[in-house]
Amino acid sequence: MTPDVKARMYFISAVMGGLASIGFAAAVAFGWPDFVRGLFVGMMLVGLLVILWRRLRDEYMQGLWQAGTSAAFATVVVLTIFGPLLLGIAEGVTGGFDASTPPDFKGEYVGIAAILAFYAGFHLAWLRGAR
Amino acid sequence: MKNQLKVLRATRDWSQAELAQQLDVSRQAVNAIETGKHDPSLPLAFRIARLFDLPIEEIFDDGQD
Repeated sequence: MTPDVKARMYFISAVMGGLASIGFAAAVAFGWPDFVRGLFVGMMLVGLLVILWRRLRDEYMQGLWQAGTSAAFATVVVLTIFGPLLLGIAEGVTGGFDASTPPDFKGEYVGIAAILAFYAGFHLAWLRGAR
Repeated sequence: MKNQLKVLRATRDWSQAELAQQLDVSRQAVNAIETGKHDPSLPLAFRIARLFDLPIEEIFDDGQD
């Protein structure tokens, strides 16, 4: 496999993961079946693994990887600290707040939010430039 | 950061892929540098300068002059 093919594989995986992220967000927003969500999560993870594998190929790819991981890390920190607060605000805004059952923030969503943030950060850096 | 990479590449009649191969980076990295989307590291800037046999400041302009 030539270096150019390897690089192309990296960027194709990034595009696949980015599209899967949008698909996953749409699946959650429109209540699509679980198997569709699972398919999108699988595509995101496969894309992530290929990017992880190839991230040190050159400094540009490494720059994009760092932009994605920075966004993911910031998301994990923000959700870990402010997750319950944000959920409470969201329930208040949507009218779903019930005083008898306080907001129950589930930590399992932090992981998927971090992956979504990774792809958002990666693609923003790709479009705007990674410096 | 502005740079003359595209012009220098054109004078040698190299494609982005050929330049990338000589610099041991991806073609996408060369494209990102040429379009100003990525500032190369110091080691890569030195490799570019050596390849074109020019001082770094003649290839890259940080706009501080």
